[in-house]
Amino acid sequence: MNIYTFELKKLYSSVALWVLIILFLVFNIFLVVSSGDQYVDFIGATSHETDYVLNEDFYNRLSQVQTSEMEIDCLEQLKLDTYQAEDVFDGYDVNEVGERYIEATGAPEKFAEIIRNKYSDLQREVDKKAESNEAMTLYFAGATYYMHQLLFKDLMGWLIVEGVLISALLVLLSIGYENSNKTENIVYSTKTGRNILRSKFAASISAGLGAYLLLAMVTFVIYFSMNDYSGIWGSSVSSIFNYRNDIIAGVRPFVTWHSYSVFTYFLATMAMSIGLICSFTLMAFIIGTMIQNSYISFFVFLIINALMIAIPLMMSNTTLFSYYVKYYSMLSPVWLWLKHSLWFTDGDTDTLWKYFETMGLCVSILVLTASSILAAARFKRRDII
Amino acid sequence: MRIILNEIKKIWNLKLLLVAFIISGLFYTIFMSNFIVFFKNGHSITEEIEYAMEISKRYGTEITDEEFSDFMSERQSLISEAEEYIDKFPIFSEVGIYNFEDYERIHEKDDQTEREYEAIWTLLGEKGNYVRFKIQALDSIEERYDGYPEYVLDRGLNSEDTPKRELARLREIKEKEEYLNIMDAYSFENTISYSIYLGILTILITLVLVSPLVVNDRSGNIHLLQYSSKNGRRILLQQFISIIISAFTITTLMVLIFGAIYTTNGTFVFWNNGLTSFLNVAVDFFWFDLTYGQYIIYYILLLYILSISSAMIAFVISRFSQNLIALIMKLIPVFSVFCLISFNVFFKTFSNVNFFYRLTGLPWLEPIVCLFVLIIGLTSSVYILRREKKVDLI
Repeated sequence: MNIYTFELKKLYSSVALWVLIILFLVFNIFLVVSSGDQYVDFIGATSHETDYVLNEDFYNRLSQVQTSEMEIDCLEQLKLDTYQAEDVFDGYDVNEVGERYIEATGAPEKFAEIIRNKYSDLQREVDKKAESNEAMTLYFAGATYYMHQLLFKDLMGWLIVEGVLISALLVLLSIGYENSNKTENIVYSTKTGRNILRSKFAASISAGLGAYLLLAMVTFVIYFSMNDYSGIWGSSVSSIFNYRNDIIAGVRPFVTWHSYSVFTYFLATMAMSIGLICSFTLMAFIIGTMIQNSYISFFVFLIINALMIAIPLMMSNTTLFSYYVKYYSMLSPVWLWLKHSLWFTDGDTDTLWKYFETMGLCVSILVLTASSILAAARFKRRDII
Repeated sequence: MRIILNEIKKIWNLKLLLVAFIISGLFYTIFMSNFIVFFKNGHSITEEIEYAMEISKRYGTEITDEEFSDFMSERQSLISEAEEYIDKFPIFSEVGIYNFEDYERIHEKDDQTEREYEAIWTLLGEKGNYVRFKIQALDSIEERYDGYPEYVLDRGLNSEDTPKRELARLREIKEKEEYLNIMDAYSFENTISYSIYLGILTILITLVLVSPLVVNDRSGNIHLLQYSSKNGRRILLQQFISIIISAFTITTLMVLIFGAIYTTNGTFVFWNNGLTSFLNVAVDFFWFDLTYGQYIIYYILLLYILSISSAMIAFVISRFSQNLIALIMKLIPVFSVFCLISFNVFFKTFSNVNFFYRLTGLPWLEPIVCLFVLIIGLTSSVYILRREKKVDLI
């Protein structure tokens, strides 16, 4: 325990770390501040009076809403947006999306079958949503897409990048610390010896996650104080106003596997991000124990992830093998990050399974944990010189 | 001199070179190869690019009215080619197409039957030698030829919102008929995107290679040893010089290698052609009579300035870093800032749509920004070097 605190102290007493955290925060705040919108503010305020469920009561309350001269346009806009809203899930056929994806990628029969099954499962979810009228919620009405992308794509995505960079650097800093300060030989000859790796790992992963949580907390406190979500936290993310867009399937509703409100989706995404950062940390840990020069380790870490992106892109869809590579590489941490705005949905062209993000995270963590144990075992027997 | 040479050897060590090589390869495959592989992507873009190249080959760098109408006579021969296909394939007579006008009529129809659709696509496909796309490309070239003086020059000249600077430049273009230059817009946009990524990659590789030199010495406390030698504290200056030489060499190598890869696109046929062109719809005009070749040379000059200044800033940072990870933590924001700068500087440099002009309304800011970054790097380095002479070691 004592060693753990000292290791932690080594990490957070680095000035460069704090400079980096502050610069990341400045960037995040810039993203948040440059996003303001009068209409969004108006909906945030009005949703307290009208509630977020689009039913008779909503329209009655909306017609009674009084606004200042300034916001009269917003009120008109809101009335226009919600006027005669219809549930998008009534009679929505999601199987067609699957067929388009299969056609576009030319997936072999074996995989096409899995994709078809996935979409027929999703169809059941869609029918359930249609029955429960889950989609008939306000979210941010006409500004929903923009706000959803801002929070769950831009902010979440950048926060993950920042968290990953910081935690990977902290792991490498911690492991390479003795080497760069020439204290390696003394440390390894003590009673704790190379078991110090455990404390180092624990310290760096907690410091990394701590840095991520700090970044996320400050960013979101500012974000939610600028954009009032309190009235619409309960809205479904599959609200009729939310949609997603890709080249192959076009504009379509945002369908999640379970019913998520904005609040639960936010929590789930945060949990997923933390898991993802852990798996990147494990990856950096493995590299750090293998390569002594921490400068090169960091670039090897980047190169491995870039390779994970490049390999499926470079492979042409000709052999069955290339499809295997393509579908399975989607489970790697870096592809999970690239698809972070599609978490808990059906994914897109190259996601094969439902719950791909949960599955990918479990696989990544399992594989990486096993490899870290091996790497740590190897580290114990490594020649010092 | 011998010390500088040895410092350079330390920078160019094999492991780091391998890392730099792999990074360049991956960066190229992920970000840059698209601009080579998908340069002529789809029709009628392919045809437009090829026609623009052909005009340039046939008439030189500029075109006159006679030459243009001479070139447009090609359209007639294409129509007769199309009609040959219409006679040749029975599918056309089946849906009532006997000549090119019939074809156009069906083409514009909203509710085509399946057979009609098939007939339409015969001339749009390989079987019909893409002849309809060729005609389309010629039409769009003609449209731009007629449109530029009207939509860009006259609209700008007659509008009250046009700033004085632009007005003067537009008048000059109109007087000298500069817009008669031949410069294809797709080739130009492609060159810009490629050059922006090349700039970012060059800066990345420069930072990766030159940064660890000083830190490595300091984290091993070798600088104490160096300072007490006869050469003394001059070593930092020698390291600075070797960093600059390395940055220069890296930039040269990158430009040569990736420039050589870029020649496969064949856009260098426009080398002597002016960029302010009726075909170049990517921008309205440039601030001076600039040719494609000059653009590339200016780009390379600015890239040298940026990559050398990034090396200088890396030098300053590395002087204050105790270990390599702390160095990377500081390099990440530096690299992001340089990405931002190079993106904005290299995006349609010297034109009226460049970020800096749109932001401030002043032309010529692109080289000034680069020089400003260089001066920041240089002054801070000089300050560090002078300060080092007197600084306490502990």
